[in-house]
Amino acid sequence: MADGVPTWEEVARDHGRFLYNVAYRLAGNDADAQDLVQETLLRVRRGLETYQPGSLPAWLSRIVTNVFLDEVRRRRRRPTDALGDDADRVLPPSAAADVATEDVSEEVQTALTSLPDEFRTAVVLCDVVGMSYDEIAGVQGVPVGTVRSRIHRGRRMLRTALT
Amino acid sequence: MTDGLEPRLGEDLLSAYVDGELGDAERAAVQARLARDELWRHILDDVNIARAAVRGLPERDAPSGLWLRVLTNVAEIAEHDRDNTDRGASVVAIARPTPRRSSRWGAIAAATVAVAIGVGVAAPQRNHQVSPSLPALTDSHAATSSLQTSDPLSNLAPAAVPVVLHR
Repeated sequence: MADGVPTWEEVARDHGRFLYNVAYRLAGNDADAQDLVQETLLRVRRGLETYQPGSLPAWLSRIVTNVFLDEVRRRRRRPTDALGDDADRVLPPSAAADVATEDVSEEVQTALTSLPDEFRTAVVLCDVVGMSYDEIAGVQGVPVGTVRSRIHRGRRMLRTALT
Repeated sequence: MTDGLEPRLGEDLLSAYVDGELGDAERAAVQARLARDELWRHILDDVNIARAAVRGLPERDAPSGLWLRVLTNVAEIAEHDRDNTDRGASVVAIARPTPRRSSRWGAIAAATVAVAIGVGVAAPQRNHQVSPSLPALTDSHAATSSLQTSDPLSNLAPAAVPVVLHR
């Protein structure tokens, strides 16, 4: 690490697990999570030269969230891309309903995956990453009031799904 | 509102309340409403349950072999980046072994590379066959590093060398 700026491999080594977890909670399945991690690390690699030393997890969370939302938008534009060639590459929520919910965490993940993308993103950034509403507003590019609403509505939907 | 004086409170304040995201005035208003409104107390319970459920999700381990595949793929994609100006908005599917997670060698290679990276140790080179192809891996890194003077991946080439699996 030079001047507080980590190298690409340091980011992968030190924050890879964090990235994978955030990606998995956003994507809801392993295959998409792996793709998100790869794309995130590509963007990290390209963006390291402009990285300003600060909160690396926050910077990484912003990137992985942007990658996720970019992919969501791309799939909306091209619905035929919604399902990949991998058996476990599925889009929420319909297929997620078929997932065996043998354990509580899978049940929660399934409920989380069923949320609208913007709600899920806000909830994950708040409850998985631990971001403040201000930080989430910055990542999502919306007012804090919108973040507040998304988190609350997301939690209400989650509670209903978990009942 | 019941008294006509209290500003209208949206129930989304309840999530902000449990997250500590309210100012003093809003927090006091929410507490006053909770004290007299059973429905709000019920909603608060729901919010707390959902919040705890997500916060209680366990950390997941990345699948075995992920980091080796990402390492290789990023190097290859970076190599072709200069010929592709339109791929920033889409996610490229990660190259995976077939069937996924069934490759014993891939898992071992990934673990070995992970350990090598983790401890920062570069073992001496050996002339054994490795999987994935060592020449392909190093060529990829070399090609990438030739494009960028400060390629962080190029530093990984020595770390990949000790992936010696075949005896």
